[in-house]
Amino acid sequence: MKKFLMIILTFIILSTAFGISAFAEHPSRVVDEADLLTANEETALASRLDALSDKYQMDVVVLTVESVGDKTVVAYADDYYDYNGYGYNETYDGLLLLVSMEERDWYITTCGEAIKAFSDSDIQAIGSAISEAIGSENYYTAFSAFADECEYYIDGHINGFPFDYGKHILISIAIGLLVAWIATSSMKSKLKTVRFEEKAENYVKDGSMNVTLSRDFFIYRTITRVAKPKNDTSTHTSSSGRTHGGGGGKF
Amino acid sequence: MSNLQEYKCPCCGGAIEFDIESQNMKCPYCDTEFELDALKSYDEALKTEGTDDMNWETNAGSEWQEGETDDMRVYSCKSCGGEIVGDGQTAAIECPFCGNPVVMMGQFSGALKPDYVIPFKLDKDAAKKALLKHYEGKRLLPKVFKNQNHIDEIKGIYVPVWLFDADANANIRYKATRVNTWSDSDYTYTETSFYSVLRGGDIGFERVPVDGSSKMADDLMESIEPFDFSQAVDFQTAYLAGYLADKYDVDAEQSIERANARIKKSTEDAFASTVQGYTSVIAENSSVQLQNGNTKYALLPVWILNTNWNGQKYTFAMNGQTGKFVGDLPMDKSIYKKWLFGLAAGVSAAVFALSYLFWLL
Repeated sequence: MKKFLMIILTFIILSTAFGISAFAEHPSRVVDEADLLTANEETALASRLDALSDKYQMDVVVLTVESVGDKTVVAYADDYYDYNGYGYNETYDGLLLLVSMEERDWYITTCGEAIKAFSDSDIQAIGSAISEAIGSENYYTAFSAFADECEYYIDGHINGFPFDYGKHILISIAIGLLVAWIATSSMKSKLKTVRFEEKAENYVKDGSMNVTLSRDFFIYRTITRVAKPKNDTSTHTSSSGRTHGGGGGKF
Repeated sequence: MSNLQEYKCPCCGGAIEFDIESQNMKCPYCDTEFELDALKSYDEALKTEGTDDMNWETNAGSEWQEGETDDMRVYSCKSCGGEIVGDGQTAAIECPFCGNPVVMMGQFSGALKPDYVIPFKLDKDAAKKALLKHYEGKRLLPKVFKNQNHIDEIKGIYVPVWLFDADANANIRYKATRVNTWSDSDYTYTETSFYSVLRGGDIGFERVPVDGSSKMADDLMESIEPFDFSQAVDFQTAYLAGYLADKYDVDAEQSIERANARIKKSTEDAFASTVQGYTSVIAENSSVQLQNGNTKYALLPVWILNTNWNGQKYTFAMNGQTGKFVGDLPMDKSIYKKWLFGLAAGVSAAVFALSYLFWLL
């Protein structure tokens, strides 16, 4: 009996240590392999990202590497996300920012709900917000900005975006000026009543018009095409078979 | 080689060649393709086009009969040089155009006798009332202009006009387009089809008036049109009693150009209204031939009101038959700015509030 208990205990300990721990303990959301951050910065950033991920049930991960080796940045980011247990829910909701020092590449891969939350242009907007700070080696500033931007887009996706005062004020003023201009132009035109009469339609003899020739024929046609503006999210399939969205650039 | 046919591109005017690849006629300059039949029709239409023939018989007016002008006197304005005609009873009078005193030159003589006259139907009081009504609803009119304004004098004057009658025979070619748009997932396509539209036929014009007085501004005179010629009567000197008449100093020959321009424009418009089912219609070529062109000389009743304000002269005119009143008015710039910026601020605030409400919902 004692032996049996021992076996069970050993099994529990072993499974906790190796198997189940993978599910219980979430992998770190700051993986600084290129060692760009100080220990304090790393802790601060990790707690920020943990809180963010927990709040929106969407993983936000920062990964820095010296080099992506033979892989492309896209494959490296996708695989790192897929094979290290990131992602909430069955759809593995979350996103990962990969910064590769040797290639000077940044890449953001999105998965699950995050694909919908971040369009291609959103990702480029985030990239331009952080790439300058990365380029000038202000890594902590860059990753904090990344966390802020992610919160903005994720919160906007879930709760709706906040009211954009600047844009609405500008559009309102433009409409106001246009309406006022049209209204005052009509007031102005009432002051002017003297003008030449270019036509003689008042002097056409009633019923005198008689159409004797009436021919219409087609001569030629022209076709022009204009590309539609896009606000799409492009997706690809990673080596694990999951669907990812995302985009990247240089810093 | 003698019957080698060269076609001009209806799109850009270049010489068109046969394109082997598309087995069609193609313009090497603008890459537009054409079907040979369409080109042939187009070319034929171009060849039959004529020029305008807008000549008139200018036999307007008639000679005075003996003794008819006995009571008529000619007055001359020393300021603007205008010559006006009145009956002998008219004592001290002012020039209706510039307001300066005029002097009697003596017995009226020369010039032609008008064929018609439309007598005054509205009196001086009607003109005064019409002026007050003219000020109404003009938000940008300076308040002081309305209040301080004293009309110096109101004068009824018969303005000489030439009346042009003609039947117009027109051949007009319009370029018309039909626009069709559709789209797929990547592009929006716009197809513009060009058509050549030919219209021909007749249209008659009756008594198109052209101002025969150089002192009466042409735009002022055209602004108070139309006059109802069904009420025109044969000219009698009795109609001049109490009024002034201007002598024509622009003759019928000189007035033809203006009549032709108006007749041509209206002919193009009238036939354009028969071109339907297109997105746009533009007259590319028109030739108008006039037949039975005839000119008459008439006097039309006009009330003229002059006033000076801030050193500028304002002239108003009223159609003495229909009461149509015209005259440009000054604008109060500060009131204009108040309206412009006030409206802009009000509308902007309203639009912003609405967009915010819309966002909240």
